[in-house]
Amino acid sequence: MMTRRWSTFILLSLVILAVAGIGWAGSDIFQRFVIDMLVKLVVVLGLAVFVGNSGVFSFGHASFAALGAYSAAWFTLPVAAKKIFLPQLPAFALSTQVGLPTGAAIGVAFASLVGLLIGVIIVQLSGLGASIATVAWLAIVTTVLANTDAYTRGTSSLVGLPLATGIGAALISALLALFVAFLFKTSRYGLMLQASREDEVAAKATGISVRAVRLWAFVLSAALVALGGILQGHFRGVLTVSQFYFEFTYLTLAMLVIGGIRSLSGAVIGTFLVAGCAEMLRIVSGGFEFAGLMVPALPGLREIGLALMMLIVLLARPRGIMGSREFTWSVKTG
Amino acid sequence: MIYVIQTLVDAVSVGAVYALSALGIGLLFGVMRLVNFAQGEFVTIGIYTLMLTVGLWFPLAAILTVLVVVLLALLADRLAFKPVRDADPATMLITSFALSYLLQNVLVLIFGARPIGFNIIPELGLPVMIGEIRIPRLNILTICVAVGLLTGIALFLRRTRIGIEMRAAAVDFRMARLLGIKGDRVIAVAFALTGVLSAVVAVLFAAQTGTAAPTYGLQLALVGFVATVIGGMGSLVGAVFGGMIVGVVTVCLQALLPPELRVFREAFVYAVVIAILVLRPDGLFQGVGSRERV
Amino acid sequence: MTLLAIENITVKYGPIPAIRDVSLRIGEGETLAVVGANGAGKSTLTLAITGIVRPASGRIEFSGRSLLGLGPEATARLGVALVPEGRHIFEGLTVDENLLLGTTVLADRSSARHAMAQSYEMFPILHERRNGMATRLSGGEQQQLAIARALLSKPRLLILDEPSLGLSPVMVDKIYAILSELKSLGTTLLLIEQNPARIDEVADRVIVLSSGAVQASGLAAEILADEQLHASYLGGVALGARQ
Repeated sequence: MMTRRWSTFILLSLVILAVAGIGWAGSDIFQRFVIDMLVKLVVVLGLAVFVGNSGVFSFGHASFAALGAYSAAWFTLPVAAKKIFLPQLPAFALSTQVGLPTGAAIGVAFASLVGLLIGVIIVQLSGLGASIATVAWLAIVTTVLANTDAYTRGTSSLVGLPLATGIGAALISALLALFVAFLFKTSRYGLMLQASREDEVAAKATGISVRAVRLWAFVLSAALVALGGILQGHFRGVLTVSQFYFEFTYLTLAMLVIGGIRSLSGAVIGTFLVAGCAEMLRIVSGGFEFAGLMVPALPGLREIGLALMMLIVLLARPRGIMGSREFTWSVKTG
Repeated sequence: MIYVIQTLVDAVSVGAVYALSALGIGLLFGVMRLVNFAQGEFVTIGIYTLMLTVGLWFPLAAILTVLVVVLLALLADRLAFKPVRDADPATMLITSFALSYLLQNVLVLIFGARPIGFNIIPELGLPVMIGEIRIPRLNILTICVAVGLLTGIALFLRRTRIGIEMRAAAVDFRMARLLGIKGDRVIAVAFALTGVLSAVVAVLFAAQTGTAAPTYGLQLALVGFVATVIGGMGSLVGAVFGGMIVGVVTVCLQALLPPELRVFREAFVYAVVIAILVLRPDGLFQGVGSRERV
Repeated sequence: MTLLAIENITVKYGPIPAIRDVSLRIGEGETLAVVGANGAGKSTLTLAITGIVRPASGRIEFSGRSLLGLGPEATARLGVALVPEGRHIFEGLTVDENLLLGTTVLADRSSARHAMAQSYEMFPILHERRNGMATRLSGGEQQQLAIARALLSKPRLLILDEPSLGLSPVMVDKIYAILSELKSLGTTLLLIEQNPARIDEVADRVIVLSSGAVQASGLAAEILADEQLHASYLGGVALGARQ
């Protein structure tokens, strides 16, 4: 039983390792694609901790990616850059520069704290109400970040972040996120939350404090999504507020839903599948020459392809590709 | 004083558009517990239809817009929502999210992401002078159209059989079906009504801004959510009042807030939404006699 | 003539069966009562007949025609009407509007109008309150409204789920008087009750349901006189005892 349970973790780790290995060996462009995909995986696994276990859809987690990324950048930006771009930062932040690990710790801590504060409110609400509240929350955070120029440069982009997210950092973070998500899912709390997902009334009747468990899942998931946002910032070297808005929300939710929210194997498969398709569609929609024929750039094609993919999966397999199954040693089982 | 009246008229006309948008969201939520993100794109596609038909006689262009959007709404019901109708609300929610994204990017593919300017009826921009108060004709038109449409829908819901069936289905869908009321038909009519509302919002919005962009609808859909939450999810009367309140409050905040806080206006509005969800989950008008609880 | 025939139906919610292998028959003009404690599966039975839940196995035939997979709209159109537990009056609609919706399955407007007039004659209190909000009615009046609404479709089978639940003794008298009248008019009734105290007034036959399975069935007089059954399945309520 024990080995069977952990076999899912080991198998998925091997898949991630293999993907990272191929990326490491590949060309620069391909490596960038793999890093981006692993960063997205961190976010999707983070989402899975809350959405997957509780069954409550959150449209607001992009806010934690944004909060994490910006608060980490306050400390990881080179002092010279900070003095130019964010001269109004508090003195202690302005005068220090830390590496990515410390910066990430700061960013994750900050986002988790905010997640705890808003989480307390969101877990008061049931299903749809909670989802709508997360939409409102994302709108709040985006509005605030886009208008606090002193900390974010507002609608301009914040440049000069050290490019510290290499394939190693992305791989370690993805494995860490997988481990955390797996540990939570199979823990007592995770099982309680899954029970509430299937039947909230029954779960309450058995004495489960749905709110408390949901809150812990919310905070944990905010922390992982924040880590993903921090990695993305230090991968691209640039932060904009719009980077963490509906586009980001859509893409990461699509990855989760297409794979199947009830399964971590689904989160991994969904992320890799959607990222792969998105990359191919991106190349196609960028315009190309084929047999002497110029195919013009088709902006929007990538998004249309992804949306169709998601709709088809929703209509054909509302529980995603994996349903609630996980990969194990022997065979796939329910 | 003149400024105050002008601002108020402005506020009411913005509120009127929001009220129509909110009623569209509220109708579908009431009848089938669908939070329809894609309503934003119903509006956007209406704006683009109007842009394409702008050379035509205006009433014809407006009718064409209504027809296109109603057809789109019915197709959305048939192809996207009907297959997931028996799934949990979360699945419907995510389906509408995906549909919204799809439609929005189809528009990007066809028309590009940048706003395109066009002008429906330039004379609408001219003001009417009442004493010393200047009121743009467009504002008057907006308020008249909204009042007319809301009255029409209210009569439809009160006086026609299918209207009464819709109100019943909104309160208790299962019981309605047990009486032999055809759920599919009620939902299709609700989608058609949402289409009409979205098209009218599109016409009014386009007349106001004179531009079309793929992302315009999303903002209006979000306002619709906010308004339905304020009015009580599923209460149709509440949705209309909620929309009106959001419109008026937004315009007033814009006029009254000091400039450095003005930019955070939307953050305030959304914070109020969360507060209402927690403190008054049935909306602000809970307990008012005329309320139609769903 | 058998009107409704149920053979060996099992209904599951998830993996858990709510009713197992239940069979019953109702003849034309007959009144069958189903009794059993809370959670015995009585309401699930009504949901299965009316097409809201689909049995995992078994057959349901109404006047020789299978009801399986039809769904509630079509089942209603065939002549099955339900007065559900909790009445399910439409909130925000007037008494008149609630009743109007009861005529949905009738062919045309004039027969609907005629049926409404008849209904108001049978339930004068509803006529008195016809323009008021339905939810402003008292519990007993709401129950009358629910019964009137169901009758407006001119059903061949009327299913009543706990019609006396939560009503005052006077109102229970009133409801049972209505049921007796319906029975004397030849209406086929399926009466679901947790409390068997009054069913001897109307029931021809009785079925005892417990833990989702039929425990006993027979003529009303025999079943209701069986003290053993009472003690085991009906919470020890003395048969025929008046509250």
